[in-house]
Amino acid sequence: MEALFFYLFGGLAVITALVTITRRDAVTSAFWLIACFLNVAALFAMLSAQFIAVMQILIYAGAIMVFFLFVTMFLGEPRRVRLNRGRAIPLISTVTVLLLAYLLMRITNTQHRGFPSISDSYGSVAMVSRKLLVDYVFLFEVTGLLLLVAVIGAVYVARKPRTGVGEGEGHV
Amino acid sequence: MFDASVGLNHYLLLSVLLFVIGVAGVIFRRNAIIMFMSIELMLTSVNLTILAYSRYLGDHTGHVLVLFVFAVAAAEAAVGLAILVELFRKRDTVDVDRFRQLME
Amino acid sequence: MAEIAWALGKILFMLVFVFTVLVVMIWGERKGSAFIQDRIGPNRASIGGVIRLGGLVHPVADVLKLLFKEDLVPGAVNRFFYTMAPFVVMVIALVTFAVLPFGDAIYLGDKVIPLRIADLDVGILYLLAITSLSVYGIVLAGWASNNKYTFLGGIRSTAQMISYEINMGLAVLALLLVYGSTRVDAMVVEQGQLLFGFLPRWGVFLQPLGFVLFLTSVFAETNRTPFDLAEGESELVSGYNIEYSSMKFALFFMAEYASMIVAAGFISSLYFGGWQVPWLDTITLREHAGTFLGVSLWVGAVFNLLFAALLWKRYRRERGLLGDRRELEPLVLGIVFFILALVCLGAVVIASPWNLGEQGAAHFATVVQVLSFILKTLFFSWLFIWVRWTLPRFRYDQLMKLGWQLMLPLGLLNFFVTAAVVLLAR
Repeated sequence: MEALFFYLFGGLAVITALVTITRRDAVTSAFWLIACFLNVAALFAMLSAQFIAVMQILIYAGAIMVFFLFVTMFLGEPRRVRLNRGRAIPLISTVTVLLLAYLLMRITNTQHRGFPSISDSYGSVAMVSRKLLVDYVFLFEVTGLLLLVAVIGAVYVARKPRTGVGEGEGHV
Repeated sequence: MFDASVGLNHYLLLSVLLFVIGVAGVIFRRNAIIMFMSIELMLTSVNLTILAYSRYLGDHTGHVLVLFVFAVAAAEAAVGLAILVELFRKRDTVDVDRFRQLME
Repeated sequence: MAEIAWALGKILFMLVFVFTVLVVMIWGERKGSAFIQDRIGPNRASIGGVIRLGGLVHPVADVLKLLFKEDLVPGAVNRFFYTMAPFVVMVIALVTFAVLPFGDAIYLGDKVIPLRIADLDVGILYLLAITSLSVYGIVLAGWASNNKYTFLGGIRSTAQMISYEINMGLAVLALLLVYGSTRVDAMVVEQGQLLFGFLPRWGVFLQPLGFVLFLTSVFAETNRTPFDLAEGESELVSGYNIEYSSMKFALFFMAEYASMIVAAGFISSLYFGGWQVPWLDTITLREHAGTFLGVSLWVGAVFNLLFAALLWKRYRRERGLLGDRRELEPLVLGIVFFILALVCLGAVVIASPWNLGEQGAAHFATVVQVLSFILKTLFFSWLFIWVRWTLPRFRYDQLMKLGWQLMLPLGLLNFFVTAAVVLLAR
């Protein structure tokens, strides 16, 4: 049963990811990427990481991707697909393929490593929060700072340029 | 390899596949937004690895790490997309080959 | 096996519940708007020319009409996403129900059956996650239709959802602090106690500001007036669903109501005690089950008789006024009510419900609690209709201003004050 679900969600994740990077316009890509993230969230849930799975949906699929879609829809579609034809591409591709082959070889050569049985509370909100807010509370605060900086930076970068006195009024 | 029970290796394999798809997206596509989305895909595949190891070790530290990755990804998306919007306003394209100057 | 059967049973119950309330809500919307605007509202559709039920037959006629309409797909649409959009909207509206408890756990022998579909540790976060996905149905429809009005509707909806989700999340987080649990069932159980000895310990009394914020955000998230800018007839023709016809349109239409019912269910569960009957906890209900059942049967008998008598009077009065079979309706309904009254009386006399036995008492308590949940949900569904026909639509800048400049600071304030109080009270 578990294997069935793994191959289902895993296969769907790979297919949707492939579709994502091969679409012509970014809006379609974004929709397929959302589908991919939902499948990955299902895989997270299968790894008993309930909280992270929900967060994956909430943050990635629900917030970041909405933002992507919003921006993409504003920017409009490209007229034609352009692929990268830089001189370094064959080299980079070769290295990537070799790396992929090496990783695949290493993983398939390793003997089967099953998951140990764990308590029911593994991956629950309480357990993860305890870890996050007791052991890593400083990093947690720093992350808050990072997000604040990101918000300010984003607002600063994307603000409308002030063209005249009073014209920037009402825009953020 | 393809026996009935799913283990750590299965998840690692899947994660590698997703990561490579993300890399391919970044290398071959010139649409800045799709490249950006490919990077998000790579981040997600790494998260999958972290969670699989976390499950394998029966430890929660990986979950915390993934939460931090989420936060960083959100910050990155906010700033990155803001930069993209700004670039689009100036050059009317999202094709990364058209962006040749750092100071515009 | 038995577990799967129970799970399927609960899912079936929820589906039946949603689709029944949905039909009633569509009827309520029409009749309610007619009432508020001093009109009569729909009353023509009938079964056999006799039964009209004050317009309740209309939704059935509507569904039949939409089923047999031509399913027109415009040429320039992105066919895959265009077809998918209504399903996405409907599925997302329905799956939210999984974490909603609709009654206290049933005990069958030594087995405990909790009355909610999924036992999720993340509970209320699941609601937030699914709600955050609900925007995609509208965006998909708006974008795939390849029409500027639908597109504008989709874009408006995205910005609106992003803005109001934060407020909703803040209100829910404050609730988490109060109840100390992410599980919706635990929250509902907590609300069964009394506050100061006389008020039910409902979320609305613990989090009044949070409730207002949550309610407002829910209206925005369900794209309901005064926040229905995604459809705004006067600006965008009909917004994201212009290009849809036939059953696909019906799916959008029904999904809107389904998501309202879900929202109403969550409002009642989080802030109004869910399945809890105020002042009567499960134990009291079980102890006095026989008395309650007997009294309610008597009351039911009296009221049914009253209805029957009134309908008979009406039949006598209106006979010959219409000149066709429609005037038979009070007679038919009166007979139905009379039979119901007889059933109630018969149950009191024959079955003597005053001593139900332990199992029977428990089942009676469950039924009463489920009814309590249904009544609360119905009330908040009606609230959605009430607000829609009372308030005008916001302008877009007002919407954004309200979300970011008023509700966000208030939500943060509410959150911090709640956190401080919880910390001090501990």
